[in-house]
Amino acid sequence: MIFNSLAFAVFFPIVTLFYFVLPFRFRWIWLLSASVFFYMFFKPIYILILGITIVIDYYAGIYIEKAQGKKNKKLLLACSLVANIGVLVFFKYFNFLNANITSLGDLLGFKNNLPYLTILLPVGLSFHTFQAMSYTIEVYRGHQPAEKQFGYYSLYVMYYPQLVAGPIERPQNVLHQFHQKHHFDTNRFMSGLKVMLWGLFKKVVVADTLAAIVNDYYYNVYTTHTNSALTIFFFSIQIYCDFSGYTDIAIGASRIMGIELMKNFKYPYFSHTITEFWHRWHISLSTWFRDYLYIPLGGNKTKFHYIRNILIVFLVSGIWHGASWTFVVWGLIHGLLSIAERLLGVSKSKSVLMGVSTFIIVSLTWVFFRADNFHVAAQMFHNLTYRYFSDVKHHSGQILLVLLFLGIEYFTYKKGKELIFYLLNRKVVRYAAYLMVIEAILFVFNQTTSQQFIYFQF
Amino acid sequence: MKRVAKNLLLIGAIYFTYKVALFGIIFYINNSSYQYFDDFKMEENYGNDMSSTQVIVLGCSNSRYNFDYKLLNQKPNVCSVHSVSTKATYGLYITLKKFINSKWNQKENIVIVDLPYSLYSRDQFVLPTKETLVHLSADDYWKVAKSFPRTFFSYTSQISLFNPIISDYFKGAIKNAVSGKGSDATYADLSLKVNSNPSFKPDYINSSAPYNSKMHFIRDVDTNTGYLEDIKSYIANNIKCKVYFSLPAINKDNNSLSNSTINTISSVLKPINNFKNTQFSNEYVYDQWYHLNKRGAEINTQNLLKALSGLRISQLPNFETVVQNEN
Repeated sequence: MIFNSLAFAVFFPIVTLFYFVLPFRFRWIWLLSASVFFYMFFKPIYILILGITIVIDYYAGIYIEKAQGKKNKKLLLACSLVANIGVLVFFKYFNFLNANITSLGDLLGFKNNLPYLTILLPVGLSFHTFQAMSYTIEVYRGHQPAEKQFGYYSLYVMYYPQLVAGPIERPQNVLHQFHQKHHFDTNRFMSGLKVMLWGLFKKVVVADTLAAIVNDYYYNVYTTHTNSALTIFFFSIQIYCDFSGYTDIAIGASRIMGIELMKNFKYPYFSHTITEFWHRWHISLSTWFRDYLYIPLGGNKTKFHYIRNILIVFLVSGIWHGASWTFVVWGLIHGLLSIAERLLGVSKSKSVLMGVSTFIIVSLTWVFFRADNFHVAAQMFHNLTYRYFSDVKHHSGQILLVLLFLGIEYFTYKKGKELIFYLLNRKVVRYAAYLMVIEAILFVFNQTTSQQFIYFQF
Repeated sequence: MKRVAKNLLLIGAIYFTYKVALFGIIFYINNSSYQYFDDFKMEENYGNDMSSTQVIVLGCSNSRYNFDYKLLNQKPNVCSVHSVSTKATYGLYITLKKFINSKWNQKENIVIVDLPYSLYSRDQFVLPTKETLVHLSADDYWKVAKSFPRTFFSYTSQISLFNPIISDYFKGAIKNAVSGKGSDATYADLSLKVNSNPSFKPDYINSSAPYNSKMHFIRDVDTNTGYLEDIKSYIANNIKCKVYFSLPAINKDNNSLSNSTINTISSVLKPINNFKNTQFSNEYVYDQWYHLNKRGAEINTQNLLKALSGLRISQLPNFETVVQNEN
C-alpha cells in the first residue's frame, strides 16, 4: 500500500485510532499486525522472507549478547550479516550478477547456464535489511541491549511508516520508544498531521506532476529535438519531493503515535558542496555507511584511507540503490567529487557560486540515476546541446510551481523551521494555507496517475 | 482530543463551504444567460431518414472520422446509418445525456456506442472541461453522484480554483455579463453533430504520410474500468434504442494496454468487435491517435459491417445481404 492512496487514507486513521484506544500492553500487537498487513498488501508471500530474517536476527542478537569472547560474538554477527546480505544479494542482484557473468563469458569464451530469476523484488528490501543489520551490529558493539521480546524486535524491523522506504532507523533511537506508553497529545497530533500534509503535497502535487513530464521525455529521448535541461532540472526536484515527501509522511504518521523517527533530509539542494549535500540527503543511509562501513574501514586516518574508504562507500551506496552499472557510476562520481573537494580544500565552502554549481552537478548526476542504461544517459547529455527549448513555454505552469516550492523551502530553511506552516502566525492565513494545500493535493491526485515512490524500487 | 476534533471539523467545514460556493457559482452561471460556450454547428445529414431503422454510431470525433458513411448507407432501404457525436471534451456522460434527450433516442433505432478515447483514459467519463462545466446542471451533478459514484469524487476534486479551466470559465462569464451578451442557445441546441463529413479536410482524404505519433500514450494505469458497469446500467435505464458497444479504433503504437485490461473491458461491455481489429498502424491514422484517415476508415467500416452482420440484428434482416454484396 502506498501512502498516496485511498487505501492508506482508510488504513492510517483506523490504525492510529485503535493504537490509542487499546490498552498499552496490546499496542505493540496492534501495531505489528497493522505493519504485517501493510507489507502484505504489496505481495503477501514476501512476508516469509522478512519473517526468516527477523527470526535469524532476533536470535543472533540474543546469542551475541550472551556469547563469551569476542571471537564468538564476531562469528554470530557474521552469520547474521551473511544471512541479511545473502537475501539482499539473491533477490536484488542475482540477475545483475548473472548478466555480468554472461557478458564475461562471452568475452572469455565460456557459456553461462544459470537461469534468470523472474521474481519481483520484495518491497523495501534494502531498507529493512540495513535496519536489521544495524541492530545486530549495535548489539555486538555493546551499544544496544538485545531485545528479549520477539514481538518488539519484529516491530522494530516491520514498523510500517518506515518499513519500505526508510528512514533507516537505529535501534537506540526507536526500540525503546516502542516500550514507552504514549498518550494522545494534541500538539503532537497536529504537528504530525502537518508534516504528513506537507509530505503529501511534495509527493502528489510536485513530484507526480513532474514525473509525467520526465517520464515522457525519457520515453522519447531518442526522437525528441528539445533540450533536456528542463527535464534534468525537473527530475532533481521530482526525486527530492518524492523521497522527502514519503519520509515526511512516515515521520508525521509516526509522530502522531508518539514515535519520533530521525530526520532524513535537511534541505539538500541548498548545500554548497557535494560533501555537504551528503550530510543533508538521505541522512539515515549516509550515516549508516559512515558508522558501519567508513569508520570500520579506517575512516580518514590517512589520506590513502580517506580516498579508498570514500570510494568504497560511494560505490557500495551506488550499488545499494540499484542493480545496474549506472547506479555504480552515479555513486563513483559522487565519491570522486567528494574526494576532489577535500583535496582542493573546498569541502566546507559556503559560497553561492559553489551552491549553484553543486545543484547543477547533482542534477547532472541524477541522469545516471534515472536512465535505464548508459545509452539513454549519453543521449540525455547529448540532448543538452539542442537549441530548442520549446518545452519551457509549454511547461511554464510546472516551472512556476517548482520555483514557488523552492521559494517556500528556502524561506523555511532560512528561518530554521520545520514547515512553512509554522511561519504563518495569523490563524486565518495558516488555515488558508492548509486549505490550499489540501485542495492542490486533491486536484492533482485525481489528475495525474498515481506514481509509485521512486525509492520503492530499492 | 476535543481541540483536534474541533480544528479538523473547522477545516473540513471551511473546505466544504468553499466547494459548495464554487459549484453554486458555476450552476448559477449555467442557469443564467452568462454561459461561456463554444459555437457548435450542425453538419450535413448523411443518411436518409426514410428507412424505418436508424442505426446511430454514437461517439465523438472518432465516430465522425473513423467510418465511411457512404459505404454504410449504400442500401438506404435497409437502414440509414448516422454518426451522432459530440466533442471529445464533453466526456461520455454529456454525450450520452445529449443523445438521451435527442430525437434519436427511440425504441426502433439501434445505437452502436463507439466509445470515444475516454474509455481508455482515466477520468474522461465526466471531464472537468469548460463544456461539462456549461452543460452540467446541479441535477446532473447529483445524477452523476448517484449513478457514477466512482467518478463523482474525481470530478468534484477537479472543480478547483487550481484548474485553469475554471478561471477561463469565470473570465468568459464575466466578459459576457459585462458586455450584456446573453446566450440565446440553451445547451440543447449546442448539441449533437450529425454525420459530419470529413471530406472538407484534404489531409484526411489524401493522407499517406506516416502519422507522427505524439507523446500521448494509453497505458494500463490510465485506464479506469471501474465505472463500466455504471455506464451499462445508466444506458440500460435511459436509452430506449437497442444498444451495442464497439471498441474505438486507435493507433496501435500509442498504447500498452494489457490483456487483462482489455479482457475486463470486453467482458463487461461485450463489444461487437474485438480489440485486435481496432489496432491501426501509423499509415492508417490521421491527426490523433484515435482518428483514422480515409484508408483506415474504409477498413474500419468493413470491420463494422462484418460485426453487424454477425449480430444478425432482427431489425436489419437484409444487412447480411448488404455485407455480402459489398464483399
